Amino acid sequence: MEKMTINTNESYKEEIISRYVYAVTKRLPVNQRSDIEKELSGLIDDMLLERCGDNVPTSKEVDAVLIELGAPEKLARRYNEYPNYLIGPEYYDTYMLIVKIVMACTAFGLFIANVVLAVVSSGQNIIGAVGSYLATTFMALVQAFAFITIGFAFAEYFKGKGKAKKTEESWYPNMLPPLQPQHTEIKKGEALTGIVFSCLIIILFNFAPQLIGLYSFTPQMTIIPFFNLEYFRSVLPLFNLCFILGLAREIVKLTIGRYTIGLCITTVVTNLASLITVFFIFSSEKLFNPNIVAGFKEMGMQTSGADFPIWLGNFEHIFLAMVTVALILDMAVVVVRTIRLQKKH
Amino acid sequence: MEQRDVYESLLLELRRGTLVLSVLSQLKAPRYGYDLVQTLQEKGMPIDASTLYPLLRRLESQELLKSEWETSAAKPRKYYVLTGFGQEVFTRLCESWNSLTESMNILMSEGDGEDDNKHK
Repeated sequence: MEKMTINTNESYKEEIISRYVYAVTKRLPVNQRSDIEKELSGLIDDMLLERCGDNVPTSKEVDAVLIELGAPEKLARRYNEYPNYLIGPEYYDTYMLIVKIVMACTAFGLFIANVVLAVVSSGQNIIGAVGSYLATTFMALVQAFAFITIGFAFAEYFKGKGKAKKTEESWYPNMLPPLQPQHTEIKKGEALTGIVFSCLIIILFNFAPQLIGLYSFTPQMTIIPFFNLEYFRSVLPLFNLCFILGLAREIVKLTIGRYTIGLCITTVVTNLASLITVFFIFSSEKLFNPNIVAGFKEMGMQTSGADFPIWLGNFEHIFLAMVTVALILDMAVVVVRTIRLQKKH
Repeated sequence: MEQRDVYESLLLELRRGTLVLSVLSQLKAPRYGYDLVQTLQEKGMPIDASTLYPLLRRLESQELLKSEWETSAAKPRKYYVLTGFGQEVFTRLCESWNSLTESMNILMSEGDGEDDNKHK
């Protein structure tokens, strides 16, 4: 019986201290975290040692020490010297990562798009093409940078506004959220792939929609665009809305890094919004290139009879179905994983 | 109740100014954070660990202190000690402190006697 209590006290101590230390250090710059983590754990140990000697501290004694140290938000704020940020240490590393990825994707994506365009429209002068490439790239980079910065600044500004003050006044250790096991972490690569993919799609749709189509390489390279480019431009903002929602969702994934209820809600909301938008866009037949079947013929393809591939005949439905399945699948994965985790705790 | 709060907050402000000097004065030889908390408490200048630990890091980033992890003992601890620059700043701060307290003593003793002004 005695042993039992000791064990529970010991495990309570370990658990609540690691929660506390994590709650403090996650608000600090990455390069200081491990050092402060070690120092803070040492301090708590010392404080407990002074109070309890060699006895295993009771949960009350552990709580008393943590209360003396104060709410983790407050302690973290003391560690951060200049607390007024446009983008604070909590988001800074993610912000820099996103800026780098998006900038790289923008430059690379535009480069590829321009090379393909140059090949298709042969006869254009090289210097003019290079010049317009550089100008477009510069503008695109500036815009991308501005959008990301504004997004992160908003996130920083609204982060826990209002709620923070109240909890600090009456803070108690049992308010610390439980730590989730390592395997609940979202693989970084998953979110990063999503981010790179979103960027490339945004660039393709905005700067080179004529490249989305059917390619033929004989006798020379030609492209039949899938979309009716004139109408396409009028719905482009809606496409962009979907892509940006997707990008935002991946960035949230990367920032939170775990399957939490917040992430689950974000995913469901952004995916549903994207889904509605996609259905709205695809509801108009004007979206597609009316000459596409004629184009197939020109390429020497059979457009009737058994040889005609069915998927080409109603590729818009297949396209829509693919997008729908992808969005729902993504949503389902996040929801299921979140629910499974919530049940465990 | 409210008047008491006013007093408390003024006292806090007053003490805050002396914190750095108290900390620097105790770091001629290396000490770790909690040792310093206890020493200052014993010497009548109590300071919360949650204030001291961030302060030590700040002083270190200002190059007044340097630190080293002592890992040979059972518990790894981070020891802080004055740098040459810290020593220099501390000496100058002490001089300023002395002249400050002198002036303050004069100011406060003037306040004691209402007749002081008449002697001019």
